[in-house]
Amino acid sequence: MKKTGIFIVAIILLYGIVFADTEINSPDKTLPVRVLFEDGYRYDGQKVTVAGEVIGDIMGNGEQYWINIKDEDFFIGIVINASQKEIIRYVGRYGTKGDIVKVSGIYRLNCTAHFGERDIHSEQIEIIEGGYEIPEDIQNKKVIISILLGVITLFLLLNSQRKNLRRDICGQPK
Amino acid sequence: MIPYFSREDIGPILHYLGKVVKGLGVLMLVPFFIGVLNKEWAPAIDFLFTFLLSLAIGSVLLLVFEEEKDLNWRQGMSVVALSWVVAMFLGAIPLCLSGHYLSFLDASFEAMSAFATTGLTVVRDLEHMSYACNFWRHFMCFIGGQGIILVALTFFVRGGSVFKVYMGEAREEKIMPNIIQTARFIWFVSLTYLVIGTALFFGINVGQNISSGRALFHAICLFMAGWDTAGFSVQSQNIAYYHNPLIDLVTAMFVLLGAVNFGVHYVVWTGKPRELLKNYELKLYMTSILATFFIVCAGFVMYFKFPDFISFFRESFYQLISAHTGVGYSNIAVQNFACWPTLAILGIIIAMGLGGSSTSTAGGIKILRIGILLKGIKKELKILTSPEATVVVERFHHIRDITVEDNHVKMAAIMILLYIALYIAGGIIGVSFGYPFLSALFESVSASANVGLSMGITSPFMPSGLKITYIIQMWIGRLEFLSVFVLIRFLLSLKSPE
Repeated sequence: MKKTGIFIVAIILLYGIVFADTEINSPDKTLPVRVLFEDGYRYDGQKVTVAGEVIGDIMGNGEQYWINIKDEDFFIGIVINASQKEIIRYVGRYGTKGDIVKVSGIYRLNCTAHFGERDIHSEQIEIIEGGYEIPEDIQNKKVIISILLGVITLFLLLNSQRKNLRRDICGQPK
Repeated sequence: MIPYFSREDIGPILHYLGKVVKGLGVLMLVPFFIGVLNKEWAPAIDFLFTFLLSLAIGSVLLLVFEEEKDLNWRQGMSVVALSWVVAMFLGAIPLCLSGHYLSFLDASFEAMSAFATTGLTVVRDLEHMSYACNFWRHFMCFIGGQGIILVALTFFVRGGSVFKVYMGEAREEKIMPNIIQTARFIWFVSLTYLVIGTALFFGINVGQNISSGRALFHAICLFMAGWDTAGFSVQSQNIAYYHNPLIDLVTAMFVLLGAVNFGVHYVVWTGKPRELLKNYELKLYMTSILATFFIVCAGFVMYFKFPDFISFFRESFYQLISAHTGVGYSNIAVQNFACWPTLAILGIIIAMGLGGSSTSTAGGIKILRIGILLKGIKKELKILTSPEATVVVERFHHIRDITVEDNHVKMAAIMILLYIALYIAGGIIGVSFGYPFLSALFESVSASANVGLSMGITSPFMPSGLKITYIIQMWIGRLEFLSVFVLIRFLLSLKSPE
């Protein structure tokens, strides 16, 4: 009996050591979007939670909309409903940092409802970091160089014009 | 035999180069005004700076080499090859200033990829790029697809010089007797489709609730990159961004149109639609699409993990059309290719390598050359198996009835061999940088045939040597060797003139 107990404990410990690094598929744990591409089949049809910046546009009509989120250099399309759409304030574009959202939903490698799209059908969405406007950085150095270049170009163009005029009057130089 | 160059050739070459540089500078005003309209002041300044710089460089060249003469054939070829390099550097300046590229080399890679209508990209954080800069990426595709020099010179140069640059930019056929008329017809066709295509994409985007301004921007960019078989997109996800099968369908339709010979467009436009059924190149093209799709399907037979046929067809057929037309649009992520079976990847590589029609915006070997080679082989086999003194004649219909001559077959075979050599050379270089052979070959063919699909090698973090290799491949592939060879000979003869 004692031996059996030790054996069971050893098995449990061994299991823990072997699978210590393996990501447990818990729907509440935020997965990097990268994992959904690298190990897509494992998560196909399961509930997952991902987070990322909403970018581009909110597309769709009626009850169903698409957003795209960016996590590092990976993107995934999220299907949201009209009420979930309302919570998004900022989408990432030039001059705008989009809302960082946390989305939980069913992940499909080839969604049959959407002609084979790789998507997540959102069940829950929340903003974990609000977006904001990014002010433009206009460098004075560039403005000054452009003005100087403008003056030089104008001089060159006038010179070229004068030469053309002279050539028209006196003929092509030999 | 091409005659050697002399130092006297430098003047006319640099004179016309000056005109091209000025012409490109003027084109920078388009993204400049887009920047101003959208109150994107920082990018607007970048474009103003590049416009002024181009004007200054062009003016200096025209002042120093002021004599205007008609170009001879080799000078015309040199102007073309040199202009594409200069255009790459000029086009890269505003990209580099935007801060979306790690280095000037990356910006140059992007510019060459756009001008050569390839579509491989090393941009970072495209989602936050300005409208002006993003438009410039797509506008470069349009300019490159039409022919950089043709765009810059058609309106400024008269006489025979335009014909030499037309030939140098890999357009071997004159659709109309006059080259200016031919260039104008190409413009007319492109602008007509631009209006139709933009309207269609705009309608689809507005239907998806995208604001009208952004819908129009997306529509114009989608059309320019699609029609000119470049494959850039406004967003990093490419066509997958839209999650819309209708966008897939319309892009596929326009890229197929873009990959069809402009001569066929002309004949159909002038009221002879039967050409579509009779044209040898077109028939061969359709056969080739079906054959390569069969290879892709065969690859998936043992590996069918799609839930239904629609998912499979949408993923596989779209990538195949994209590869065969050379557009490089993709409705899947780059990472998806890694899951494709090897045979299916090979099918895509073959499709990319073959390319589209001659005298179209597509790259690659071109179907007509394959057709001529096949006819040549058939003719030789007939000669070998027929009694002596039998006269064997092979004909095909391509706009008019053409008799296959030995010279045609020889030229086609040379070009096919050169392309294959370019594909393999790039693959070997990729392998020497430590990438697996299949991925390296895929990327090499994609760059040389100006396609733009990627298995993930192309990124801002790939080795600089490989970036330079792909730039050269895109350049040579787009200009179809000849003008580049002439330029190399010109540069060598400057070093040791005879």
